[in-house]
Amino acid sequence: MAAAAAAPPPGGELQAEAFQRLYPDQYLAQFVTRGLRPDGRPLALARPTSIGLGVVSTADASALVKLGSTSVLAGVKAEVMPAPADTPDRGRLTLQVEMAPLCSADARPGRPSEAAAVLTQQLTSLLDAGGVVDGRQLCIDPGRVAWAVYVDVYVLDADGSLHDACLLAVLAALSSLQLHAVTVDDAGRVTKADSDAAAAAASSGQPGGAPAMRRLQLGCQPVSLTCGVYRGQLLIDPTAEEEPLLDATLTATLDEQGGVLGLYKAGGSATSSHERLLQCLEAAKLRGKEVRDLLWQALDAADTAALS
Amino acid sequence: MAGAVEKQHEALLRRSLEAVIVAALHPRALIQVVVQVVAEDGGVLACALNAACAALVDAGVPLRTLCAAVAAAQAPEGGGLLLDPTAAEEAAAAATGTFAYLPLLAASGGSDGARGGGDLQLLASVTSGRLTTDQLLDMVEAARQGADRMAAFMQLAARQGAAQT
Repeated sequence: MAAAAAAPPPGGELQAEAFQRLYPDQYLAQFVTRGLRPDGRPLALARPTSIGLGVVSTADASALVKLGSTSVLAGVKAEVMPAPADTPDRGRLTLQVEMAPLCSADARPGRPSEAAAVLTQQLTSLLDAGGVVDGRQLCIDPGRVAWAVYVDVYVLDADGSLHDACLLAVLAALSSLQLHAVTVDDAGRVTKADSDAAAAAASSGQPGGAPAMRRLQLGCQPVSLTCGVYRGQLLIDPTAEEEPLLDATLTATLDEQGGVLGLYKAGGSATSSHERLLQCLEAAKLRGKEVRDLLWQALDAADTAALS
Repeated sequence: MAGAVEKQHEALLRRSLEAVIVAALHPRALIQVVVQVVAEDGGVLACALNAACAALVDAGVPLRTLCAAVAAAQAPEGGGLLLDPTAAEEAAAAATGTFAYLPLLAASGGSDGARGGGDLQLLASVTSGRLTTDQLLDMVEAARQGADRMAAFMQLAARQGAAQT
């Protein structure tokens, strides 16, 4: 008598989805009052994060970061340029964030969105003022040649916490970047040392054998965490569904020593108190540890793969 | 990238003003705020937000409360905290920040409104450069006090402006 088993009410799932579409705020409230989110996460848990390095073979360094569904690809290209006249001992890093039209239903092809411009500005300012990349690291021959590093960030799927995912992608890509050894002769001709030739020179014990490639020394490893305030509760790492319903959004960027490199709160109907700020900073500190461990694992795995 | 800084300022201004304007009283209407920087000597974003707020008051747009913004900078190498830094101080600073608050306003004709319960009421913030947690909290607290004074001045100016017309 299997037919006697009670069947679920017809259209049960459909009802839940319809409710979410019609009354998104009440839908989210139902979950948050029970300490959960629609995707089943507790309030203080970030989404599963993954970092993939070297995903773009034509770039000098690349990283694909997934934060739940949010997917961001960062590619780095390093080119040799004449040293800038105003800062002859520094190279230059240019960063740009683009939101691909496929990333979200709200994105339109053509005109760059405001969100992309804001992210570009935030990340550029962070790398520069936050002391992450020192221009002097990018110098090859003071006054003559220097590196121009171009970082392009593509948001492939915008599902909330874009700042966190973009920053992590940039950090992962820059951490895995290897700069070739470059020689400049008197005529100003630039030759990139061939990695095989340089390795041969180093092994044959020739003097002045500088390493063929060198890693960029980052000043610190910033990691950010976006938190949302909803009905007095703090929701960590909000999705794109949750973001418009939040009363306020705070993004805190911390380095590995707990130094605050950025605190961004753009309006919102809820103002923040001291306690809220401290709560957010604490959460960002914990998250930073988690994420940096993930990053080290990914870098180690990439190194092992390269050597074998 | 030209324009990215302006875009970030615009986004911050827009979201902050959206929190203060009672938009429900103006359905199907567009409130356009245009900010033109006439002279720059530090604290541009804070000044822009204060100017936008004052302009909205002047236009008679109903606001929930005044919004006051203050710029701050942390001088490098053990130097102190500077409120409302000049461009030179900002450039030399280890870190800078702009903070906007919804300060408690003094009741009309009443005494100085005391801040209830140490409530911070931070509406918007953007920082740049490296700060320790203590430095950040000090900065936020000091900027809050500056914002209280800013709001009192804005209130005074608004009343005088209304009295003249």
